[in-house]
Amino acid sequence: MNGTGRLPGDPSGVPGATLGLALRTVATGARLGWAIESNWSDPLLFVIYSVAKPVASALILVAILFVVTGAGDPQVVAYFVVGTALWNFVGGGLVGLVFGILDDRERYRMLKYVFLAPASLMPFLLGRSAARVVIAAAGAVITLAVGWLLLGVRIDLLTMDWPLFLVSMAIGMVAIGALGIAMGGLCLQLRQEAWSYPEAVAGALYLVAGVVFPIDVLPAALQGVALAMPFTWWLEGSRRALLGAPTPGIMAGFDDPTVVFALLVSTAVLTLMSWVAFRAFVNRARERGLIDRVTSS
Amino acid sequence: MSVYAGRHDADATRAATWDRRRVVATNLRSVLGRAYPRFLGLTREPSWLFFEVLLPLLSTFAFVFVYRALQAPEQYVGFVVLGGAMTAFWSNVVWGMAAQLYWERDGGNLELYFTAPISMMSVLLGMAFGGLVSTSLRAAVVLAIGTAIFGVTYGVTDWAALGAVFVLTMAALYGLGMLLASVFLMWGREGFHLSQLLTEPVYFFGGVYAPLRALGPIGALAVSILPLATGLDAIRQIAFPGPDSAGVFPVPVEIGILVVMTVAFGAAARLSLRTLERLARREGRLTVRWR
Repeated sequence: MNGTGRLPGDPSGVPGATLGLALRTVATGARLGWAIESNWSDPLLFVIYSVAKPVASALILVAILFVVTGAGDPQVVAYFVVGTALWNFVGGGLVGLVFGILDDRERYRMLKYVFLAPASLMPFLLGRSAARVVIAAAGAVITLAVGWLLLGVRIDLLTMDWPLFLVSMAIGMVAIGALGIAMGGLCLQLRQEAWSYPEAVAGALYLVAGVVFPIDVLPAALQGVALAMPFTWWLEGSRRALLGAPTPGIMAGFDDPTVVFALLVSTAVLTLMSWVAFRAFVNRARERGLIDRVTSS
Repeated sequence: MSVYAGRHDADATRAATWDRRRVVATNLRSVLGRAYPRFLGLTREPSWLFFEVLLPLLSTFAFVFVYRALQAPEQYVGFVVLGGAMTAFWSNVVWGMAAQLYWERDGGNLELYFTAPISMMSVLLGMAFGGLVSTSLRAAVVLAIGTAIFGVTYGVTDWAALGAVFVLTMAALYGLGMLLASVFLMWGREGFHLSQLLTEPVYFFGGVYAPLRALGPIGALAVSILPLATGLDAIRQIAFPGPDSAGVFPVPVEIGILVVMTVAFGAAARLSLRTLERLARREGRLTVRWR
């Protein structure tokens, strides 16, 4: 060790590795990510590709509702639409962070140069994934707009609970980023199957986080898992802010401050665990020469 | 003396002065050769159990819980389990067929295919054959687990019709995959994003998680152009007889639609492969990477 808590040869230990450098790294990563994501198509096609998936997901649920009930209960439709719209952020955040690492290692073969540069890896990854999060945000907004125009989902922007919404979204984004960072580190260790991890994890969380159905219908053991995850509280807080009412059932038993507190605590725990995991994964990748491994996946 | 004899010709197959029997035998070997890695992948990469069984199961479970949250009749759970199993085939068509040539180009295999004295159709058929066999196993596992966990009961009485619908659905689906493979090759990265576009929207228009009749005329249109929609609608009518399972069209009509699709997609795949190969050669896209 060189007395700074860094490994010898760690380029982020060079003089000048400051907060300013980290911010510039985030900005550079974001510009790079946006160029990679958007430069292959014209803007209209790009928008269509970006929003078709979430809109279709919401329409599947509305079709189910009409098949079962013969009519669309406005509250249930709103529950579906808001849950589907917000879930874009989880998919976008996880895919952005994991694919950023895998693309740069396997496809563009630039990851080793990021490790060599004085900038730290984490700000670069956060910036690199920002484009996907922006696309996810666009998908969320358009899904809500489709819900408004075609399905009668009314969100009153003047009377909605903006403080609760902003706080929930801000903490929720930290939770998504934390999970994505840990998964990115994990995927450095893996071969072909690494590309499937974001979808697998997002799919598992989709099942237990109360995205499209209340957690009450889950088996008891899974309800406990749901209540331990920040994503359940993030969705609940954001939904309350947008729709003005809690989800019926278990979640209705918690008031707004409790929802925010549970979100904060669960996010803090997840962030801490993810940070430790990421450091461990990166160190292991260095030790085993995985930074520039190409698996032809 | 080499059979190529230093002649210039349009492609490697024409340059090889083989008799018909040898051409057929070589192409059949190509079919098996391209299918082989997909068979072998079942044992070499057991991680498929996790990703290709668990992922469809997770989606299936989520939609089962949606139906249960809405207190829907239990028959809908069977609909969802069947739809979840069929998504394995659609995923394989989109990612294992349509996007495959694009990936083969990035990996450097595509140029080898084009320089070998074989028809590209045999490569596509091999991909389809291998994908169909390996995906059938995955879909069967999804169906078995979903059926066991949620206690789904089926009321199939006409097994011959069920078999015919399944075979025709697979033929039409993989014919569509062969068609899309050559289209995606030209579109490059746009094709990759198109693959993503062909998941949830197709699950909606294909009636994977909700019966198509709920979509009215859109459902009828979907049955006319999407083999997944046609096959699933027919299979549900056969597997769950009763008024709740009324399809968009009667089963014999949907069988007829599947026959037409099979022929049309196969012919279109052959035509489009020739056209797009010519265009790709002219524009130098056969070896270009990362675009």
